[in-house]
Parts: sequence; structure tokens; C-alpha cells
Amino acid sequence: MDNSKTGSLPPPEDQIVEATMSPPTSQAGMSELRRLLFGEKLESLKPTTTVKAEAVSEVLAEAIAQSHAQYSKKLTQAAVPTVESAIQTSVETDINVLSEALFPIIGPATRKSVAAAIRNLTQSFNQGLEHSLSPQSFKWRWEARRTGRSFAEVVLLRTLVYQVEQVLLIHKETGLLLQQVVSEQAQSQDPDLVSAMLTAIQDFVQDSFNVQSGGSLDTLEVGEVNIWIEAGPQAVLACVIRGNAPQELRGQLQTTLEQIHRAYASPLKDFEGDQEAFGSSQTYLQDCLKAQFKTRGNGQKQRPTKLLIGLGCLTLLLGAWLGLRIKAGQQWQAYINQLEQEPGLVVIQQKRQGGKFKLSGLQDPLAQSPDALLAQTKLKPEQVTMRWEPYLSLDDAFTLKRWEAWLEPPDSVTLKLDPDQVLHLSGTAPVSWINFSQRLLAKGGEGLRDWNTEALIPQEQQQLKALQEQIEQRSILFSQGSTNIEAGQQATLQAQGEDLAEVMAIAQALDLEVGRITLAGYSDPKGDRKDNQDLSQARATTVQQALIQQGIPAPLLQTQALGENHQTTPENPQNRRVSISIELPELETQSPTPPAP
Amino acid sequence: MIQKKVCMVGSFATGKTSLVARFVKGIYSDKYQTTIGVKIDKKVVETGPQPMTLVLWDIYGEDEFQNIRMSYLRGAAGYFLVVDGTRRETLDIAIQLQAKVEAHIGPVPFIVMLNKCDLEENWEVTPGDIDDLQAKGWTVLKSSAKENVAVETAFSKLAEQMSRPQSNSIPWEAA
Repeated sequence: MDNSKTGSLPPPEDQIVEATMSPPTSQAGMSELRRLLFGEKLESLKPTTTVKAEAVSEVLAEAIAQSHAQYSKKLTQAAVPTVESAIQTSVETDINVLSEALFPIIGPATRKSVAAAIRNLTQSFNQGLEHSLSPQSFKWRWEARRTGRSFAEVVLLRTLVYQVEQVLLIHKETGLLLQQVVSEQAQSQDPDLVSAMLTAIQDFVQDSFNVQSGGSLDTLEVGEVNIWIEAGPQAVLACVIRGNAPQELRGQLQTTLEQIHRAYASPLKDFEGDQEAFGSSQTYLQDCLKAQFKTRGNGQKQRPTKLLIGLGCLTLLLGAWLGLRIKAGQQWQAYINQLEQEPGLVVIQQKRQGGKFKLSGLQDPLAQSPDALLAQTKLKPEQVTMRWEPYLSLDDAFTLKRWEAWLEPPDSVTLKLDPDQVLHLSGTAPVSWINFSQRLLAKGGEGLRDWNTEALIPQEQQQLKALQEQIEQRSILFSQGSTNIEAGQQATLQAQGEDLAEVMAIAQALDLEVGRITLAGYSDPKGDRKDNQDLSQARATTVQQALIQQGIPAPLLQTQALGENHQTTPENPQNRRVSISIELPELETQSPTPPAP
Repeated sequence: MIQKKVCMVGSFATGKTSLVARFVKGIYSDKYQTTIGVKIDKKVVETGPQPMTLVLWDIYGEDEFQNIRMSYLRGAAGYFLVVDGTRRETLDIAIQLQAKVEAHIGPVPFIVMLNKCDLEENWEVTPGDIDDLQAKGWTVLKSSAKENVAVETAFSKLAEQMSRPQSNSIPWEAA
């Protein structure tokens, strides 16, 4: 009410105000007004008047200060081109002036940046080393290949799980809190006290350890909590981080701090304890929090998946490996079983060492080759190492085989081993072989309880018998009443001679003596009995003479005149014949001595 | 909310910490004070046009050399000079400290706290001394942390002084 009342009352200087605000009616009136208002000073304010440098220099500092306080942006904008060209000119004139001025700033800044870069590198190297052999690393290597990034980069990206719990913006000079953001899950102490305490600690460290100006405490580590402090000229950014944050975050903090310095240059400079001016800096700080949340979120979401995939892969690999191992083991066991069933092979020891199989055992020289058996399995020869010692197997099959090998019997001989380990030899064989086998068996029947050669028939005996039968069946026929051999009978006589010669030869080879060879002469009953008796004798003698001529020893040939008393049938030419009979020598093999049991 | 940094300055055992303890309830234990030489507390004062948060830096006092960490005073908007009334030398030290502080951070409001007024009969600081201080234009208050005398008043008064526009707010006038 008061205000409205004062507003309605006409002010005393009403007319003057009106005069200055309304457009001038004439040039003369305007001049008059100026003279009334400014008096003698009017001359110096005229735009046409030369302004004295001294007068301006008196008020320049104050004017700039006031202008800065009221229209800071305008003045700054106006000054930019001048300042820029001033710097340019300074550099062109003498570069040393500026570089000397900037040196204290550039030095620490460069050092800081290099140190940060080295820290980044070390961290990434450590991470890479730590994870290069973990199960996940295979997945990461794949990811690195797929995305064309370095393995170290992928490891860094995937392993860092951390949370920025609190971000404090602190006024550097006073240590007062300007603004803060806290993540939802985090519990925080009174931020006003925390920021003051952090400032005190900073001061304490700086004072106590004689830190060069420009250096400051930038990390506090307590267990898994890290406090990262980023100091600017006016403000300090402190981040409470739980977990293992990447050095990139440091870069982000620096950027945020720079942005805040730019946006709040004048409130920071003129800070008198009023926090409200920094209310909008929450956005910057929140950005710091948000970015970290995202990383953490990913980490949380993907970790179980990663773990599951990793476990799955591991299980699959393990399964495949176990499967292969089991299969190889089964194949090996089957091979061992086969070896154990094979006569003449004895497995003494077998084991699995790493991926390889080892075996030692005994092998009969006659046994099946273990290598040949191995070739039939799916096992690879390089997987298997075998050592075989030779031995003699007493297995029946081997005893028989061994005797077969030793005796080398002719095809006509059969060897049989009965369950009582008695070797039975049967069939025909040359006497020489029969004698050889008997001698060999007598020397010591390896693996035999006894042996029997009774069923062995000497081959020569059979030959002699066959010749005997052949000779004795033939007859040499004569003409009636004559000692002349009938036409065509000469061949029979020849054959008889040859067969007899063979008998003689066989006997001689065996060192035997042939018994008597009887040439029996016959005649038919026609004519005188006495004449016939003589005729039969003459016929026998004829054959005798013929055989002697063929080389049969005379002393062995005996004649016998049987006259007409041995008729076959009447008128049978057989009644006029000479037949031959032989006494064969008794053929005996060496009497064997059975081996001692 | 307006915040101000306030420091407690004074010799050893003058009662700085007790005054703060009487005034606030802080979160940090006293051991910080001996560890890094400062203990920090906070109190909201409801005097003046709007409430003000005082962040109190209780600086560890050393008798022999008075070499308190001046860096802790940086940015302070005001401070208390705490004197033990029963020990005359603490007043002398306070006067020296005031000069040091002012040289370091400039002319900011401060209040001299003549503490332990519950033992006034044993005081070595005389009324004459007090007059001398007041003659310099200093604000002097007799206080007792033990009996809670003038504690609230002192902090309110300093808060009020700090909320006034500072004479050094325009740089060229100060220079």
C-alpha cells in the first residue's frame, strides 16, 4: 500500500525527468539543458572534444573493475580480440617473455599429464598380464580379434567394475563444499565436514612433505575405497570411488573440472560462502556419476552371463577331453585284453602316463606280433610305448608250433598234442626223417610229458611193398612146349628187371640186404610129366639169365621148377609162365628212448 | 545456504576444543586434531537474515613456537582468538597470533574469547588488559565452556559480523 501511494505522488523533479526523456524540441533548447545539468564540465564531455589521456588513466582501473562487476561478459568479449593480438604480438616480438611467464604453469601440467599417461600404461599392462591366462581371456581374445582392438584394451574394458559413490565440488581456498552428488546406494558422511577435512588433509600433506607448488594430493586409498582428488585453480573435485576405476576417469574428472571453471568463473572467484550459485553444477557432477553407473551396470549384467558362458565352454572342453580320454582308455583296455588272450604274450605292467600308454611284457618268438595287433586298433602307435622280453610259452598251441618248427615234418606227417602233453606223430615219412625226429625228441621233449611215434610209417617200406606186389603179380609167358618167351612178353621181363633193380637200390640206400628172389617156372600138362618138369626148370633159368643180364646179382636169383602141378585153368597161357617172388628185408627204425618226464 | 569457514586459534589448553564441543556435536573424534593438527565441526547458526553454516576448524595450538599451520587458516571468513584467563601468557600469544593471522589472510572479523570465566577469581588476565584489547577495537567476550557461558553468543556474534559486507570486498580500496 505504501509503495502504491508513493508511486502515485508526483515527484518534485518530475519536469526535469520529462525534459531528459522526451526528444529535444530544438538544438538550442538541448544545449541550454546541457549547460544547466553539467555546467563547466560540459566541454570535456563533448564527443568532439579531445579526451585527455591523463583524465582517462585516472578512472580506467575503476571503470574496468566496475564494468567487470556489472557486465563481466561484455567486457571479456570486448577484450578478446585485443588480448589475442597482444599475445600474438608478444610472441612475434620476443618469445622468451611469454614462455618465461608460462613456464611455471606448463612444467607441472606437462609432468602431470606424462605421469597420468604412464600410470594408464602401467595399469593396462598389469591388467593384461593378470588376465592373459584366465579362462575369460580366450573370450576376450576373440572379442579383441573381432573388434580390432588390442587385447589389453578389451581386458581393461571388461574387468573394471567400480562405482563412483560421491562427487564433491569443493572451493579450493576455503575448503567449503560448493556442491555434491551421491549415488543412490552409497552412504555418505556430512559432505561439509568431509570436504573441509579433505582440504585440511591436502594442506597437511602439502605442508608436511614440502611438496613443490603445483603438486597436490591426488589419490587417497583406503581398502577398496579410493578418493580421487582433482584440483583446479579455484575448485577441487573429489570423487569417492569404490572398486577399481580406470585412469580414463581421471581424464573425465579433469574435463568436468575445467567445464565447471569455465561456467562458474566469476562465482568461484567471488565466493562468499553462498552455495546457491553452484546449484546448476549438479548436472556436471551427475555426469560423472552416471558414466560410472553405466560401466558398473554393464559389469553387473554381463558378469553372470560371462561366467556362465565361460563355465559352459569349460564344461564342454572338459567333457570333450574326458570323452576322448575315456575312449582312448577303453581302446587301450580292449587292446590289453586282446594281448592277454593271445597265446605267447604276457602283459606284466601297463599304465597311463599323461596322454601316453606304457606297457612291458613277455613275448614268445612264435606269438602274434603286438605291433600288428596294435595296428588293428584305433590307437596311434606314437601314443604307445611297449617293451617286450622274449620267453618260451608252455601253452599247448605253442609247444605244438615249436615242435612243428623244430621237426619240420613232411606234409604226410601229422603232429598232435593231447591234453596230457603227449605228442603223437602219425603218417608216412622217410626213414631218415623218422630217425631224425626220434633223436630230437629223445634229446629232451621241451614242453612234452611224453611222445609217440608208433603211428609213423617209413615211406621206403611202402615203396618196397608196392614194388614187391607189382613184381609178384606179373607173369612172364612162354610158347607152348618151348623155352622161348612169347611174343610181346619181352617188355614184362624188362619191367620185372627194372623193378627188381629199384628194390635193390632202395635196399642198398637203407643199408639193407634183400632176401632171396625166387623165379618159379611152370608148364602146361601136355606131354610127358618129366619133360614138363625140365621145361619149367629151363624156363626159370631163361628168366634168370635174362635178369642177370639186366644187372641183378646172380647169387640172389634162385630158380624153382614147379612142372605141371600148378595149373590155373585148362588151356590158360598162364600155365606156361615164370613168376617172381621176393623176400623183403625187415625194415626197422631206430628204437626211440622216451624222454624223462 | 551461506557457509563460512571459522577457525579456532589460541595457545595449548585454552579451551578451544571444549568451546566447539559445547557448541556442536561433530562426527570426527579428537584424535584427528593431534594427528594432522585440526579438527573440523559444523554448526548452523540461525541469526541474521538467513541461516548460516559455520564450518569450524579447531586448530591445534602449540605453546612453545606458536607455529600453527597457517595454511589451515586460508579462506577463513572469521576466527576466534581463545585465551585462558588463568594464564597471562596465553593472552600475549593470542595478540601475536592475531598479527600473524591478519598478515596471512587479511582483516577478517574475529572475537577474543577470554575463557574459563568460571575460575575468574584465579585469573591472571586483568580488567586493564581487557580494556587495552577493547581500545584496539577488538570484540572481547568472557566465556566458560564448562558452564556454557557466552558460547552461543560468541558464535552468533561472529556470524553476524561475517554476514556484514566486508570492507575488503573491493580490492582497490583495500590496496
